[in-house]
Amino acid sequence: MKKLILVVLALVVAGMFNYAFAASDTATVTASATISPMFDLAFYPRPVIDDPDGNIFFPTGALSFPTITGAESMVYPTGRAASDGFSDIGLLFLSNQANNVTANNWVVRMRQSGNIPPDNLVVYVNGEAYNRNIAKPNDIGGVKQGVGWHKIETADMLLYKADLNHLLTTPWGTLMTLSFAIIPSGKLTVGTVQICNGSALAAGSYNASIIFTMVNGV
Amino acid sequence: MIKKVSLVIVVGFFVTFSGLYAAEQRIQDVIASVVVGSTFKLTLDRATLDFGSIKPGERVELYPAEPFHQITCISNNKKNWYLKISVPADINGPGGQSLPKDRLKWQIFWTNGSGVKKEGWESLQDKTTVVYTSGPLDSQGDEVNIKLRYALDVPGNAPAGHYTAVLIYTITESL
Repeated sequence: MKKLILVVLALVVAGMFNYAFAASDTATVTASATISPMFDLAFYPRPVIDDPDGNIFFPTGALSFPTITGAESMVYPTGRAASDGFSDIGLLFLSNQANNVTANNWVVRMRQSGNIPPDNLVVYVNGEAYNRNIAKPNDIGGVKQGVGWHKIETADMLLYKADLNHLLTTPWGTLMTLSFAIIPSGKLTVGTVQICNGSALAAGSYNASIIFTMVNGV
Repeated sequence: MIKKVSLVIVVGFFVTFSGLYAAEQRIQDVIASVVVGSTFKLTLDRATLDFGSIKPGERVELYPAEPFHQITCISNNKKNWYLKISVPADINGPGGQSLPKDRLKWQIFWTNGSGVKKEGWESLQDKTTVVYTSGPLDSQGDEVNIKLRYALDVPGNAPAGHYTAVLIYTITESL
């Protein structure tokens, strides 16, 4: 009989223990990921990612010029005309390196390589760089070649320099649109500024690669 | 002839004596008692989840690059219990940058429990979320294993760098 009483008491005590300490347990897990840096140039519009843009005449960056006589003052790529509302190409500058604003200022440079003399090949900067992530032109503090015609040198020339507002441009990128022209005479004056002062193109076949380079940490 | 009779008598006496001796023994009842303590615990098979390197705009699931994350719950309290998840902060990155916690998602892939589990992918939220509610067989002391998988949706505008988030799993007997 005593033993039976003891057993009952023990069960009561055990029950009180459970009641006094509400059951709970906790464990933590740490999830981690490294988001890789993106630093890239791309022709706009990008296949799949961007909607088609009918204002860009050569979305793949392959443009050609018609046969010229040498008498023209300026020759546009095949299919283009002055003030037709198009741009030859769009360039997207993509960067997500926003964690070090001082070291990751970036620039885009351009140069040409080929047998077209610099005074016979020009680029038109259509307007301000456009940060497509914030849906408005946003060039505050950015440095770039001004809107208008520029001779394309064979050495790197600055096309655009990002300011602090352009360190994070992903996913849609900062967009610049450009157009090109041949100057058969080698001479071009815009306003009072003589941009090209070279020689006329001799008969022959010409080609050039226009090379864009995006560099950070400058 | 006489010898044989005597022998019988001696044997019969011995047997009777043995019977008397046995009658003096008493088998006592022994009551064995034991108190089974309360068990209510939660263990994880690992404390880190590494999504590796992800490009902006990508969605990455841990499985199959990593095995499922297994949570083991044991209760012998014969009471319902709840496995919950909470995240105290956003997904913290470099230079004060962060990703919203709902970019991190979880899904119960499998359980041997008899309870009710959340179905489909769930995003981490500001409030504590019930992952699993125990069933009638889940609080009898057996292990209830729950295997989860995780996914991370990285926004396209995520700055580069290393990001971490702390997930807290808790089992309680109250909601």
